[in-house]
Amino acid sequence: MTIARNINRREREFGEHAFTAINYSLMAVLSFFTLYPFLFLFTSSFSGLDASLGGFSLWPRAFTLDNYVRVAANPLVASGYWNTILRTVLGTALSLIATFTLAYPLSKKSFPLRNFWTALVVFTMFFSGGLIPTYLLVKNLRLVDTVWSLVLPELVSAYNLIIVRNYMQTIPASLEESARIDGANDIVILFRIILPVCKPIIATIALWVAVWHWNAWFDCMIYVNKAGGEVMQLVMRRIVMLGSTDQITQMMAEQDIATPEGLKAATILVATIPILCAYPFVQKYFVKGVMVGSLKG
Amino acid sequence: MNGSKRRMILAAAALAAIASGAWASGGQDGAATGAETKRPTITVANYQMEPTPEDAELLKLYGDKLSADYKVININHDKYHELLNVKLASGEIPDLIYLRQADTLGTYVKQGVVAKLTEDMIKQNAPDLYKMLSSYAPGFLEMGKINGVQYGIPAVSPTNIFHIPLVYRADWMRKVGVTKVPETLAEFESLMYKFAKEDPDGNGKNDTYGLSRDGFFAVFGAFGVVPFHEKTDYWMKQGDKVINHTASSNARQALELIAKWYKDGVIDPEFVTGENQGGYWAISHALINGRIGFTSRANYYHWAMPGVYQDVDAAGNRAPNQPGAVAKELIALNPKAELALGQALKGPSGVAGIMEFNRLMNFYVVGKLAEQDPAKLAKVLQTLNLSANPDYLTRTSVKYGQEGKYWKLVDPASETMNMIPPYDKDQSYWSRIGGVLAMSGTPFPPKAAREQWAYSLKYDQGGVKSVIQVGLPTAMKYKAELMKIRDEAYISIITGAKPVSYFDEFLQKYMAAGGAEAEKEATEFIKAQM
Repeated sequence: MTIARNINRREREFGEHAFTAINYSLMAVLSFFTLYPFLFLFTSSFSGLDASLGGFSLWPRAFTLDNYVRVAANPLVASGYWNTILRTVLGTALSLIATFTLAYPLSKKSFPLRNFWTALVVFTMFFSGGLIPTYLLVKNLRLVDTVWSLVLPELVSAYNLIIVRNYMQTIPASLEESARIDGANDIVILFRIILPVCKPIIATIALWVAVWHWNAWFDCMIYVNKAGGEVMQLVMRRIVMLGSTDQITQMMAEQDIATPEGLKAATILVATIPILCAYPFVQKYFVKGVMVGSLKG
Repeated sequence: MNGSKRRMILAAAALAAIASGAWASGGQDGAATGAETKRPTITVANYQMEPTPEDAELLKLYGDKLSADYKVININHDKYHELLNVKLASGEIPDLIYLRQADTLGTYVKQGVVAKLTEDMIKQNAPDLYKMLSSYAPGFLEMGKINGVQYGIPAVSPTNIFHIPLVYRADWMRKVGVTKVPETLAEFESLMYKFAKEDPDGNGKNDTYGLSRDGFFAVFGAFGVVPFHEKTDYWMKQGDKVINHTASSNARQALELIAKWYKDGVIDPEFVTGENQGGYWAISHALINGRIGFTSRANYYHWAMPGVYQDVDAAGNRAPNQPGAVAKELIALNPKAELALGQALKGPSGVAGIMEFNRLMNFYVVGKLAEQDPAKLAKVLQTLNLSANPDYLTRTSVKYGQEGKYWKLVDPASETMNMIPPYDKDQSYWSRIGGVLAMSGTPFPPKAAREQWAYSLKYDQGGVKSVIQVGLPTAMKYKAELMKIRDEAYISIITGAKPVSYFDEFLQKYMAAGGAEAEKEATEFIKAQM
């Protein structure tokens, strides 16, 4: 009996170890694939020679900080950074306020015409005005060339709104009832009772919105045409795309220039690293928020 | 005005104050001015490398010269036509519009956003421009006509009078014992076989090829055609018809030869994906990485090795030239590599030829809104005229700013300019100072040392050109589909997946898919011009 049990246990242990080993090695391979693009950019950004000059390398060829010096010296990078930070901070703050104040009433069963309002919101998930009508709207509201053209059109995302609404619906009604007995009104309940409970979902939505704002460039390309108004992603695009058009669109010999690969890599990293750093800090709320907020009708 | 509205919408937002402070500084006060004087405000959309501020110095210079106010509509070059279309659809029609693709002129005319011009208007208001085009690019003004009406003002490349280069690895040639750079197709063929078979890189492995996709230009050129260009259709007269090079019997003969070379292992099997692997467009990665020994990619100046001609340096002294953009990459990768630039190859007919890029680069048009205001329209044309000033100093300073401040004329005889630091490293500064108002593509004969070198290579001779350089409506309509059919057929024939006789079947398919219709249109277009 005992011998049989021992063998059983040993087999089980072997199975567990084998599983763990395979699991870890798979994860390592996956992580490498995810990390490699960054690693590649990282090494090229410190390489003096043009990175097109040879394939795979984990170490910078001809180490130099020159690429970063040149990125820092570009006046467009400074203004681009400022514009991106401005739109991200402003956009995230306003989006959170608008999304939560809209989601709260929609999460209440007693809210009049609740289904109608929800349907209106969901409608925008499937149909949009299209590029030109949206541009006309933004232009006629005189938002063109201001930061508001980057913040207001995407202020409330229907998808985020529904996730927040669903999250709020999972909060027990008794929590609010007890506050009401203590004499709190709706505003106090929202800010003192509901919001603290909603921390995970706030962190999640904030991260999503912030990342979206950080990465967005197309709206800026359309709405903001004044000098110094470009966001970092557009500046980066300009630097990276330079020289990739061919003779048909090239006009003269003097425009016959291209950005060295190392400089491209440095620019990309400068544009990407800050938002990447935001992830670890919200990680702990993030998983919880995404799980709880899943769609439950 | 803006502020109060913002405050209304977002009184609660604490950040509003910071934001409006930072963004209102640009302010749009353009609407208020203009009424007080007769100075028209001219809006311009042109190629630019970065946005132009409203107070850029050249905007003032132009304004003083022509008593007008200028406003640059900054449009990101990367998605130029998409963004221009959004502006046009919303009723913002710039007064001077650059059409990045010459093909699109017809479309914009049909949309009714382009003002009608007459030859007299151009002669009167832009005499220098008119003279420049008629003396250095005769016939190009005609290309801006649609149904007999002048709409477009052509931008013509000054350097595309030279055909594309024939670039050989000279060190490989020496290795396989060939001293003479090929002049005929037969000599070329024998060299390509040697490049593929005789281990020219000396590594003991059979890992080299003669040529790849861009090298085909030289072979097709020897037969007098450009049938396999990635994006552009080339047209030729044949009898009383105008036909696409793609559908010519010359192309078929060349294909037969290339297919034979492919079978013998002379062609890089990766030709299907092209020689460039991204990044700077002019680089042939296949050549600089030592896979192939010949290419015709890009222009002569990209491949100039150091010291092939004498340039003028910043101090005005003669000095060996700096390497061209691609030559520089090649040297960095392989310091022992050497290049030889050859002549266009003589084909079976005894005539040498190779593709020449279209000289027509793009069009400038006047916006429809200026049509009602003849005084303004005249000023738009006068604006362009400044870029065509016969004096090099004048026409260069309306684009690159004041001489002595941004650049220096180091050799007046060869019209050589050098950028003054830091502008030599800041290639987009001209956009920032308002050089956007200038027209690019003024076909004055190039005089610089680099171009003298191209003349010495005889690259101004033997270029195969297209008799039609604009996109005609029917041709444009079927272009994507026809190019797909062509690529499929040409690649199958080259790789041997289909025999050469498949060309007849391909022709039928091609003609039925719109090729015949496009041919008819092209024939009528040329007839109408004569």
